[in-house]
Amino acid sequence: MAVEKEKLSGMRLSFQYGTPPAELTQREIKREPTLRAKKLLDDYYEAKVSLDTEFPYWYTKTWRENEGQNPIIRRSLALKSAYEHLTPMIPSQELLAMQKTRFVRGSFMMPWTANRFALSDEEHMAHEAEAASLKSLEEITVIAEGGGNVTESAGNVLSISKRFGIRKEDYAALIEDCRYWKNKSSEDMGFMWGAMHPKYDEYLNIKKAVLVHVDLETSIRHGRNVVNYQYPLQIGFNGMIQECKDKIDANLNEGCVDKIAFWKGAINVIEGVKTWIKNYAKEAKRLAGIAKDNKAQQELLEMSERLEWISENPPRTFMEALQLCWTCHIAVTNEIQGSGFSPGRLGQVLYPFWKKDMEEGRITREQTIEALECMRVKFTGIDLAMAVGTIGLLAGSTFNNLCVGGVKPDGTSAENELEELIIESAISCATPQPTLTVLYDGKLSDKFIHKAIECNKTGTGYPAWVNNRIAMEYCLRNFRDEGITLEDARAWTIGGCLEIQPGALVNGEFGAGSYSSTGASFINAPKVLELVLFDGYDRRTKTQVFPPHGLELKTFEEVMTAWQKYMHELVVVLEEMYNIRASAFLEHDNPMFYSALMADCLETGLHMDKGGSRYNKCMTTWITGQVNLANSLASIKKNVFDDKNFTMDELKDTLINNFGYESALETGKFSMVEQIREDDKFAKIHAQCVAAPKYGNDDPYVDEIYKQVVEDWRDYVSEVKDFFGRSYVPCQLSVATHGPLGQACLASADGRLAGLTLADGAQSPYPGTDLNGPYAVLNSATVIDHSDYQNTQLNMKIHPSAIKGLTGAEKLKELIKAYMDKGGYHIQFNIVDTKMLKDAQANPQNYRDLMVRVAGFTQYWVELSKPIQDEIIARTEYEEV
Amino acid sequence: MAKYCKDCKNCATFDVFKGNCEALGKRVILDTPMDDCSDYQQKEKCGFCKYYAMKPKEEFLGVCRKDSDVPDVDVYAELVACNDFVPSA
Repeated sequence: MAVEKEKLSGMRLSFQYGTPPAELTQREIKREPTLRAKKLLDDYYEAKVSLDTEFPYWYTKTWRENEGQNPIIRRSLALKSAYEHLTPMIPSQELLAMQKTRFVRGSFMMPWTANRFALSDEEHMAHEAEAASLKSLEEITVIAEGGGNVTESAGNVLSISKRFGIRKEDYAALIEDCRYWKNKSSEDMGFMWGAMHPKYDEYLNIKKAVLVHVDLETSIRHGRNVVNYQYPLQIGFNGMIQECKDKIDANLNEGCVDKIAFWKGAINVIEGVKTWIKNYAKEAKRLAGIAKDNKAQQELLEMSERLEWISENPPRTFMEALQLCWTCHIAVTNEIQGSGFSPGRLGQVLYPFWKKDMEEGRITREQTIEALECMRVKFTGIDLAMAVGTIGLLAGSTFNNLCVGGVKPDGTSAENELEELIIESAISCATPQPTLTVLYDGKLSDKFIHKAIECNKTGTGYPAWVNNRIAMEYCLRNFRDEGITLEDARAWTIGGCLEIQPGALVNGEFGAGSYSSTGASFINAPKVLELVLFDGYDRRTKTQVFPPHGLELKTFEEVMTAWQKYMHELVVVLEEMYNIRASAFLEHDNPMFYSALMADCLETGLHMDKGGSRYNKCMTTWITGQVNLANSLASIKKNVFDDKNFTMDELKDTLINNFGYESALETGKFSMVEQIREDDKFAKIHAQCVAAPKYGNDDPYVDEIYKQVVEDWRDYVSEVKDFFGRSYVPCQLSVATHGPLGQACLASADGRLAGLTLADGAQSPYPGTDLNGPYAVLNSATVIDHSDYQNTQLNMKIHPSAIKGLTGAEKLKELIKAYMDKGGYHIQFNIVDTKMLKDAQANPQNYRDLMVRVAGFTQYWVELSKPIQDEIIARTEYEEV
Repeated sequence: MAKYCKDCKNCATFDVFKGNCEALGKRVILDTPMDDCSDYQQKEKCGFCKYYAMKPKEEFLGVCRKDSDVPDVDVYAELVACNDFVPSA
């Protein structure tokens, strides 16, 4: 059991996690990381999420010193200064150097992007209406108490957003910076600019009612994208700088000041990153000087030499290339408040370096696995400093997706030995980041697929499986206007959870080149129906959100008409507002280093916000709870109109009274399991609602409704143009919004009680309602055309015994293949025993390293909120596939 | 002035609560008093520099008065000092 060695004002500081009962955690596949990775992972488990102030201090200072400068130059100088002043920190036994801050698990605020959550008290005064609506979201967002979260202030450490610890002496400096950025940050400007929309008041009511979860758009605009490593890999930072200089010389007399500013700004920021790397090289050398043993000394000297080399030149070896890719990745996360920056098809990117090293005897498979394991720990240490609402939405994940498989630009299978080692390192060193995804294609070998299934059997929730053909189809269709090539479509990859991003070959090598956006998020689908039933009025916040629809709802068609009216209104207002608010980011928050890396920004002289990327149709709108919506509509159709079991008024009265049950906030239970009924008056109606047809059973009665509501929403999404003049793209993914969005909903006609977590993902049945086996779920899930969406998502929970041995692996392979053959895009599995999850909820101290699949990402169990834990426990567990 | 691990050159950061002591080779709590530690070496932070002046009514914020020809520069006590660092008396 856990032992608490040291305590500071109640905050558990020591790293001692207990041992769960062996019978609950048996795994067919279980391997240990190398000793080096184990040590680094133990450091990670011990570390608390820590906020630093160096980057924001130097950024703000330099920004202020350069008032009047060209905005792009000003930003690049601020970034350069910030990179140059980051204190290097290299933990012992580190193989890959550099992280966001000087903390093992650190982050920092970017108050020029978002400063409101740090100034929340002041903001309450200045923006009362908006603050109230934000608060409503914060109130319903539950942050987990375990793991590295600093949920309370202790000693000289303050807790921010119930997750981040910051030292009191640093907090003073941070708040000083935040005050400077008041009314200047992208977030503040976005709020102010939003008022230009004629329906701004309606938008505020939409937010207040939590009809959407829009916290993300106010503080994070970039992300869900892949970082392009090819330019530094091919020509090095010096080569990139020279290219910028050549471009400036060639274009000075062309009158293109914006382009000159971008190239000059790119030089500044690359110089800043170079200095940052060199500072690490110096630190490694210093540590080598005080190292206690020869091996450590030698490793540190090699690290120093590696860093010094890549700060100027293209890499010569696999280790140099891996270090350079990691450095570029972390530099991007330091520049932009982004979520879901992904390494993409890193196994393809690095393969030429690895193959050459293997052929020339410079590296072994064992050394490769060790390096890849260390990379996994580094990725897991990335954190994002955000407000409570956003943390709840993201569940603390940073969504760095690493993809394997798929095809090469020539159409042949892309699997290679390095990708197999990437999978092996994910088996031996189980960490949430980078999560792993197999780009499933019929051309992949059985051997490769079985290797990936072996990884599934570890119970980590990865790899996810996505359909290579559907994604290519999506790319070819969506980026046709931008001239996408077949080769770039074949080089596609995932940025973030599951979002399809086209590839961008750079001199024939795998690269990335699409614009990035978090998009307008997240529509609370069942809440829209709730407002239909109550004529536009939200009972929870006592707010008339939409004008009354004026329909009597005497027929099912009238219900659908009212739903379509409200959903259309919601989507249009949300996207139009997003255009306005996101455009505030374009003023002084532009990606510089990120753009310099991205194909083809340096060539065109345009940064990403100016459309310099090769592909730009990437603005999305997201939806959550569409399965609950479809189930509720099916219940209304069946019970109110077809069978006339009860009237609409009786249903409304029942929903207001939560079917006679205690509320989730009273019980603290957020799934249908173990709920307490106080009043039997509504029991019959509840039973009829529960018995109504449910999505996930291959039942056309409800599946057709599901298809219609999803396709209606899809069509509304693409009506509005983004600020590039391209239509929005629908994206079906819940992340962790199904927790807080569910809490904003009354009971629904599908029998779900008030406040309970919604169905996860997009194609996942509501927990416990899929009764006809997994293949029936696949049939329901494929009533829509998945290539219409930037992504779709289906979760399944399978008991480990169901896929045991070679026979079990074959069964899982057949299940995956069946889904892909039917046209499904994505499927992922929790291979866990529900009994273990229940034990983990009761005894979290024994499960520090337990990971589960949430909705497109894997996260530590102890760092998930209870509403999400409850939902995962309640998911149907298949004992046979 | 009281000495703490967090103010020692040997203390590499780990998280907001802890550091790694390079002299002792072990994890330490940052706020541990170190008056009796023979390995203690004061870090070069603005707060320990002779050019640092605290701002009125501010415990952790200050200004740098290194260059009398330019306006005071806002700094904070914990900031890693520049090359002009001179230990305060």
